[in-house]
Amino acid sequence: MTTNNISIKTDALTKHFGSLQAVKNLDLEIQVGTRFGFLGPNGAGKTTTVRMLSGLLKPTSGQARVCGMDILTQQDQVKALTGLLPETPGLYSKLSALEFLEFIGSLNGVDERGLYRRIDSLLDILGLEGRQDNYLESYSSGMKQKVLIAATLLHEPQLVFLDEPTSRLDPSASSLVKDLILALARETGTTFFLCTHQTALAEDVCNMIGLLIDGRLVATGSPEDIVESYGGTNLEEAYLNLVGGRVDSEKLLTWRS
Amino acid sequence: MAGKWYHLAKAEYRIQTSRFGSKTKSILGLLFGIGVVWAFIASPTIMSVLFQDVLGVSDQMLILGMPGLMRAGLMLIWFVILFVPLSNSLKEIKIGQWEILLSNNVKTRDMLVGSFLGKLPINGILVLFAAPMLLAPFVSVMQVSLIGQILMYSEILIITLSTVWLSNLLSVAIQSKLGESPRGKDLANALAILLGFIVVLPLVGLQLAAGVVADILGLNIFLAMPFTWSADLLTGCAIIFNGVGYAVQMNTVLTLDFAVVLLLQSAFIVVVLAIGISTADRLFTLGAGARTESVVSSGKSNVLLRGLRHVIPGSFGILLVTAMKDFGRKAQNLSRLSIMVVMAVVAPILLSIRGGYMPSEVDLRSILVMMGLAFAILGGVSFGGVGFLDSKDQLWMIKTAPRGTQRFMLAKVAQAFLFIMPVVVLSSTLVAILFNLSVGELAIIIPILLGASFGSSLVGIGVSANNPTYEDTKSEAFKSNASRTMAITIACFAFYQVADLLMGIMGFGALPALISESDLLYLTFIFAPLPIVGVLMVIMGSRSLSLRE
Repeated sequence: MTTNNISIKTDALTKHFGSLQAVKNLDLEIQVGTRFGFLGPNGAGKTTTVRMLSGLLKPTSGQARVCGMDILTQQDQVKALTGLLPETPGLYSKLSALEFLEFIGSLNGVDERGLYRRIDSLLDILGLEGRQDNYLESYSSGMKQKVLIAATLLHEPQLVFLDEPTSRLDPSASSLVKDLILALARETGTTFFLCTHQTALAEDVCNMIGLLIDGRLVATGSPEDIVESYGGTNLEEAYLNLVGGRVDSEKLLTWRS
Repeated sequence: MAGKWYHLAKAEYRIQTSRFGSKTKSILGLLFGIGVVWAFIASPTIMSVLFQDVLGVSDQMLILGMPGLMRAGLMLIWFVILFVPLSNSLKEIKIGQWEILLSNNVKTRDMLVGSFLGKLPINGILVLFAAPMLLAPFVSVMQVSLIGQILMYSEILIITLSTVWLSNLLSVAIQSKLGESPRGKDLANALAILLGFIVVLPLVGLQLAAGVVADILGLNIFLAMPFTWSADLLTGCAIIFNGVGYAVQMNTVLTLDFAVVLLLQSAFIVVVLAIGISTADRLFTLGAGARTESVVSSGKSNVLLRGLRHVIPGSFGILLVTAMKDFGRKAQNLSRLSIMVVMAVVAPILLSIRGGYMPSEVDLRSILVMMGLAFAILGGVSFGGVGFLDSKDQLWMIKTAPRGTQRFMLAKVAQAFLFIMPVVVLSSTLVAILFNLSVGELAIIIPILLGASFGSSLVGIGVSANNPTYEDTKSEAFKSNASRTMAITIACFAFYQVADLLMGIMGFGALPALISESDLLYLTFIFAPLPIVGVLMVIMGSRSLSLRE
């Protein structure tokens, strides 16, 4: 359910935590099927934005519609249409992957027959089919991340928020997740909203980038547009040009003297 | 150049005294001064007034009871010093911290010595303030000389330090074996809970039946326990240095000769120190990573869970069964439930010992109140806190589902009821056997106790849902939730007693007297507030949990 093919539209969305302004007057419009990369340094307000858009946090001011639903008044509908992969995993260590996905599926009210078919397929795609009955406490961090990705996609959301989806994954698992995102976006029109520090991931996967610094959206556009506007040969260099953080190589070794 | 143990001791000292900030040295100096005045001047005077004038205990009674009471007191101190730090350290496994230290070429022996020495100033001051409560009555009545008092306090300090050393050693050994995996943490928490219970049980025993505990400690079997040697040494010192002319053959008071006790005590300290220093580096080894740890699989659901899924089809059935699996597979939850069974059975037994009754002479009302109190206190902490949610991270996942929090709350409430039922039935049956209750009486106590324990669980769930901000059991939010749960459950349980008292004062004593005459009315007024408040707390908690921040 979308309005005019728009998946996310925010209008001066703002969030304060006491005196801290986490997100300031965010204006954003994302079309259905977009793979949006939300870049920014630590503490820039990316996770806060995602939590507001997925109905978990109440904005201090401003408005937003997600999949055509108002995040202020229709939070249950927003949750039904979206999926969220949180930055820090809150897995149940004493459940197996299968049991955990059953739990998440039933929380989302997924029909029992369809649920097991989807769980089997997702575990198979993510290479976990042999370990599905092992307790999650024995999983490596990469395997846990795969289970969380499966949990996020289980109820077939129209819009998926992914907070640092590949930060704990090895290169092959990372590549698998990238392909999964591209395939889902292409075949089902799913919109992806990726929060990440990894500019290479954003460049590989996303067709639209947003740069958030100190809660303010300072740039939007395709990766190519960003590189062209802010200089450099790739997104990482453009990001560094915009955010700063380059240190002189001589200074890097001054601590030794 | 100072050894690595010195830097570790300094770091530990800084951690221990961090609350004092830049004034640490002055505050510690002041505390030491006050402690000396308290130990040698104030406490003997206060205790003398308390025992002789307020409690009316004669000098003769104190002198005769000294060996038994000293053993009971030392046992308590020993248990607290050995198990409480051990229990606390198990709640916070520091493998990551050790990894950093070991990578800096620090030996485990240095870590043990450094951590022990760093805690020394605070431990010393604690001894200076706590020990007089045990020693002062005897010091006062026996008029022990200053040298005798110094020897007695030194003995307490030595036994405290050797026990702290032993506690550190056991903590390192257990932590390194359990590791920092979720499974290791769960087992460590389960062990911490059981150790905490080992400390609390004698305390409850001493409060309800001190004479019986002192008699038990007088048995020869306790001569094998280090706290008995320390207690006997203290008794011996008080007799040798007494100023009232109390002359008695030492072997008529102590079972073993004073020199033998001194030898045993010294040998214990030397052995504990030697074991620590010689085995420290072998005790600790870094555990295997996730890939090489033993893997546990879920297997097929048991017949009860399959039955439950059959009775409750659909997504709520799955939710309930997975909630039950998660709760039932955690060792820490099972240890809490086991403690609940033990306490519910032990509480009425202690009551009958205290009253000097045979079990068959104890009335049903008293049995119910004692068991109900045990369930009320333990039900909330078992199903609230980590029994409700492991951490705030889990909450984000639950909140992302439409009406996820309400469905989750409902599943947790149903899960608490299903777990508490067998606990109540088992402990009630055991009590029925021990107290010769009829089947009819058993049928009466089970639903009443189920109401108390389930009500208390609901309070625990409600409180946790109102404040789910904890990261782990060491966090302030977690501790605050546990205290709140305990306070609410006890207030509900004591509601009738307080109301009775107030009505009596206000001149309405006839009504409580009428209620007290009828078993039905009395039990209703005692047990009804807890489930009512529990339901209200769950409703409030569910609403609060659903709110957006």
